[in-house]
Amino acid sequence: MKKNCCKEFSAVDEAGVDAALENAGQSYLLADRRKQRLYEYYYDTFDWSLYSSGYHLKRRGGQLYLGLPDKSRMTSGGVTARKSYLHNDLPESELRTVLHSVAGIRALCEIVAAKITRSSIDIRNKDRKTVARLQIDEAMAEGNGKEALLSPFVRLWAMKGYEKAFARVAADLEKAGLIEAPYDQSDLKRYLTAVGREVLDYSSKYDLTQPREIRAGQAVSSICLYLLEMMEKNVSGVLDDIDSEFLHDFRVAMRRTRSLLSQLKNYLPEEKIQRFLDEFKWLGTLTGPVRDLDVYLLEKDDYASMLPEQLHGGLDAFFQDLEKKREKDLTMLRQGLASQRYRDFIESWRIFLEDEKGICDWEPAREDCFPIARRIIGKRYRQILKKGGKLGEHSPDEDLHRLRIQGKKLRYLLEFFASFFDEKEIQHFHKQLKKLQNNLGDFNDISVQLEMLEKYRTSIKSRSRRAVEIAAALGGLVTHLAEEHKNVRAQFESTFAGFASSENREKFDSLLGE
Amino acid sequence: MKIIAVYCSKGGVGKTATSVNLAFTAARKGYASLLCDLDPQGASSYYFRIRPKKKFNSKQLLHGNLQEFIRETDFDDLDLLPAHFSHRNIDLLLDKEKEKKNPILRKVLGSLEDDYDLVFLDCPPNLTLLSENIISSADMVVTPVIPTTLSVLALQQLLKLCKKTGVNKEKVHAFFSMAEQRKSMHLDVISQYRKYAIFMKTIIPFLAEIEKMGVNRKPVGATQQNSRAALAYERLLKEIEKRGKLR
Repeated sequence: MKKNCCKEFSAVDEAGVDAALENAGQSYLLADRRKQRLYEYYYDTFDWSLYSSGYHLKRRGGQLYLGLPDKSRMTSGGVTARKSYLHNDLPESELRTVLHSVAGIRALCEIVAAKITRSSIDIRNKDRKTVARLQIDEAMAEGNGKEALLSPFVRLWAMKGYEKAFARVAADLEKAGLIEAPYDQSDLKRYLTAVGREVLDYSSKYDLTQPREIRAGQAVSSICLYLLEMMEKNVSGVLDDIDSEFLHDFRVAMRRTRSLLSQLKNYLPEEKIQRFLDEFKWLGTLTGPVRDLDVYLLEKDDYASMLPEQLHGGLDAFFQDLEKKREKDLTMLRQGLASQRYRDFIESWRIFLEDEKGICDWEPAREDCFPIARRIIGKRYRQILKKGGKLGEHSPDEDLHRLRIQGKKLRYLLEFFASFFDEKEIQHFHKQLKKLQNNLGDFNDISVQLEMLEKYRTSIKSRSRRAVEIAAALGGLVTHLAEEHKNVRAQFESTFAGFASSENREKFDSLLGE
Repeated sequence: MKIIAVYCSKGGVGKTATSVNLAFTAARKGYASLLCDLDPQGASSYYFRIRPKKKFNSKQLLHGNLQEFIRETDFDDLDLLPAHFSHRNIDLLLDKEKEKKNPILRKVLGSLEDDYDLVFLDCPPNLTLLSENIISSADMVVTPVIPTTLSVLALQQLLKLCKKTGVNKEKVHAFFSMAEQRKSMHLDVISQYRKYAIFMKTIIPFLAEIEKMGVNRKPVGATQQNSRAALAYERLLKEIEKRGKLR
């Protein structure tokens, strides 16, 4: 059966609703059906992956309800009340599978909660036949550290075959001062607005545009402030350890900042900047160990699939050790982020960036940014072509790692200054670079993993059954990964040739206007 | 979509009570259900407090303009196509149709295939062209039998009609309706006929609450969910589900 048509209205206050009901009551009988109290909790990932793909998730009465883009709905079995759910916190179900495909490794966090008093009223004709239904929500929203009472929200549901009555009641309600709500206003949006938040208020994608006439100093300050905000938005998620991506995004923002400062150092007051760079380095060391372990923990399922069933016991034991180690490292990280040193650093960095005298007034920083960007991007690109072109089958792994770092620097530059260039051209170039970076990134990841696993394996001294099992599992992993390492390495030449093709070179020259 | 006709050539055997309560029970079980009131007296429509729209008549029905005349009942998953006074002359219209034996009702209802799982037909009590059309269009013909000789006779007539129109008589599923424990004749008829495969096991007793539907204007399950009558209709639907392989 098709879903019924519904019109939504908002009222100024309770008296407004009463007036509207009185008006409708002149042509129809109004029968109170029931009054319920509902508690609804809305969830999404920190970067809004559900919302941006047309899904929405809420918990009500101990169950999760997932709304799909096609307007259908899925339910879970019973779940315990939590502020956030990771994939494994949910009972096995179709809903969990769908959520996993949309949210990936990100946790689903409570974004807003609503306490709703819902009155349901039947609108009946003289035969006492229900011809339309009314639902009046009075809600209190909670989230973003606030609590807010919403104005009453009225839904009028049509019933098949009684379209005239529906139109008449709708007109009666409007005449009495109810205002039809905008079409795309979901409950989630209403509750969020009430507590002063908006959907899509965070994305891990770099998205800051610069005007073409901006000066170098201004560009650097605004980019650094943007990245500082990224870091700060992720801190509480790191401290609460909600999922691995808070720390990852925090570190990426930090790395982008460092990369920008070092690539534009000729135009910046080096002396003043140095002490901040030192602090960024400290932050890198502070956050590194947990991130390194996260990378392995995220690989857990992949690793298991590489090994036969008999070795899974050893693998589990290995991961238990990693979890324990992570617990310790996380404590250190938390202490660091809660320290006076961290607070002072962030505060002074912000003040420095906001102060005109910080960067903007420095003579070399007054130069136009666009030509500088063009110059350093071109230089970086040619460097990659040169270095990459020299690499052959027998080049040491180290050289590939170095090339990856060059590529990353170029990628950051292209992101920072994308708005200076033609959008289509820069996107093409991004894509080409991404292909190369994926290959180099995979190669690097496996190298690092191999090294760590091998180091761990050879450090096992105990002859206990557990230790032997771990060693066996790691041995299996190393064999498997070494094979993959070779495969990824073998793909480098052709990947690079694609990146450095004459067609791409020409396009790049035209992008830079050379 | 399966079409279930509730039919008997004899009047007063509980066809409307059966249609209304079966459709209601099916909807409550999650079947998207439609009840078509084909009886010009419109008792099913009355029970659901639904009147037909002004433009509706049997011509519209036979020409397949159903969607715009279907109305939603007060209950989830249950819609109703109201009866119309003009249905009393539906035979004359059927007679004009070129191929009389064509199951035209099936064709007409086929347009609702995507909207409903089950369509119940509350049929008028007669033996006419419409009756022929109903039994050839339906997937199942459910027929109430009061445990009396005349009612059993009506069942025999139905089987004869099946033979004449070439309809497989396995489509027909009978049950005892309005049975009264204190009437020895009822008990005799039941014990004599219940062994035949055509009879389902469920017996709907004569109950005051079913009679009271005319006053309450609601299915029995909507007045009292766990009443004897409501439970009896639930059992009957279960048997129909099994026999018609509905699940």
